[in-house]
Amino acid sequence: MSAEPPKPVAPLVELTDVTAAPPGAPELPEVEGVNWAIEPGQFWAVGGLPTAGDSCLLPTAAGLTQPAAGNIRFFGRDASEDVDESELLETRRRVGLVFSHGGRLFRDQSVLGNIAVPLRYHLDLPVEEAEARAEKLADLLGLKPWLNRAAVSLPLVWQQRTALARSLALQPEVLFLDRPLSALDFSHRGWWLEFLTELAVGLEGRPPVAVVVGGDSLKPWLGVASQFARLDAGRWETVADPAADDHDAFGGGGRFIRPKN
Amino acid sequence: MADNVPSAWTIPALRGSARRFPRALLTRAGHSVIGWQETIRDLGAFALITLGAIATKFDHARSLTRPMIRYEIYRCGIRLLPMICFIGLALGLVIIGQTVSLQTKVGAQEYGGLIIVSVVVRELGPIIAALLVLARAGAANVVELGTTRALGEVEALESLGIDPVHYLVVPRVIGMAVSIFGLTVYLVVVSLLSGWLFVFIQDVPMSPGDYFGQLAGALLWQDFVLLALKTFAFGGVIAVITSFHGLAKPLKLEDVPVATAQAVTECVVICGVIDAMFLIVYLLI
Repeated sequence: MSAEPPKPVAPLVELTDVTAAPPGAPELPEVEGVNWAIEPGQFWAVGGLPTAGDSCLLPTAAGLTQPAAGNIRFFGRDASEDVDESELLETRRRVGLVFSHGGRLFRDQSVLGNIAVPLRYHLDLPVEEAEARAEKLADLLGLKPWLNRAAVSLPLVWQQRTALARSLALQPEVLFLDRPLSALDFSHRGWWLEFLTELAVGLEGRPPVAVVVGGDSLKPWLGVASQFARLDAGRWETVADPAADDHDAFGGGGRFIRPKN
Repeated sequence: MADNVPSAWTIPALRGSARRFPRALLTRAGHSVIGWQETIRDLGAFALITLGAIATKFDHARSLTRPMIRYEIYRCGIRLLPMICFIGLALGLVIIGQTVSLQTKVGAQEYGGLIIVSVVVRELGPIIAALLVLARAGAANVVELGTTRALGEVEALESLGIDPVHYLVVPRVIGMAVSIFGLTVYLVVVSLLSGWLFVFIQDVPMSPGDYFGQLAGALLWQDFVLLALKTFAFGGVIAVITSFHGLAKPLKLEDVPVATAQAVTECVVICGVIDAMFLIVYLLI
């Protein structure tokens, strides 16, 4: 008796010839011609200069911004089709996004409150139950000493972790992180690399999460990410050998760009 | 203001004549009409979105939105109670007391109740409460929501699948509407009591029974219904307009005073229009 071949799994997020532009400015595209499929279990690292467009591409791929051109499918469903609002909401819950530079926390909430907001909104949990769940998650991320502090009063490194905890509250299947390692010192970088690695394989009994990180350089993600891509002059390129890729924040080919004077 | 409408200053043929009074005035009037038309269109769309969120998501996320509504009622209503009571006291002394006192002198005291109901209950009460909430909470709304928008919290809400209108605007609309209604009731009651206090102090020959009897006789059941509708309309309009100006466009720091002033102006104008509409209804009663 021969075993049936496994059914192909649809990509979680699939971009076809997508052009990403800032919101409200579709005539100013930052990245064009992106063909990208994020499949379950993958860990993508997307590198590029600070102005390369990854801060525009990631929110577009996460469904936050409409693409200026092209097509995006979420969990096999075309995002441009007329969808019921409940379906749109369900899609948003399954895709997480962590913004850079502090994660855009809610300034009127504490750390615990920030993490509990999505639980209280989507699951309509009472305050005590939502905060109990949020506290467990905060403990996992080392945020217990900061729970009752105003979230925006924390140092930036801890704000970034709070944003990560908030995005994980609803157990997304795909998690986009925009420059998570920027402005982090060595010890915090190590924590993030280790945590995201565990998240991608399944953290503490949770299902694995497909992770997509953006950053200036691919080098920190060597040995951590499984797939690599680079944004160069507004074009998307997958990188087969990231170890040999010498494009980083110092310019093409590893040369330091001297200022003109 | 529409960008594609040329002004007198950009058309060379008109530049020399732009200083001529009638043409420059017409051009400016035209720009204002176009500007107002766009504002009404955008505000109308935002109001419909907000109404849609209230209608479809009123019961959604109650554990989160109910405390927010209660906080808005506290911020826009309970915190303004002392000021409203003070204004009610002054209103009663100035308007009601003086009116009753003058009417007694000309022997027209039987119209006292009607005048008090017409002036205080139907007109001044709701509009004063609305203007106070606009000054204290409405302007703050523009600044708060503008800051929320500028700091990217709206995108953060969207990334979590949270409807920003449902989370940020709906509690403010409900809170302001309930607050203005409650404050109006307090204002009217305090005004009526302080009016009688003035009458008593001035030794006007009118017994408390006559005073309150006249009021009861002048009040119709429609006054209660229309008072509620008017105050809820004022609260909704103020919340929607101030929220729109805070959220609609990204605000830079230097834009905040301009946006706040524009929001306050629009609120005053639209509340005036609503007041005029209710006046017509009162005249038909």
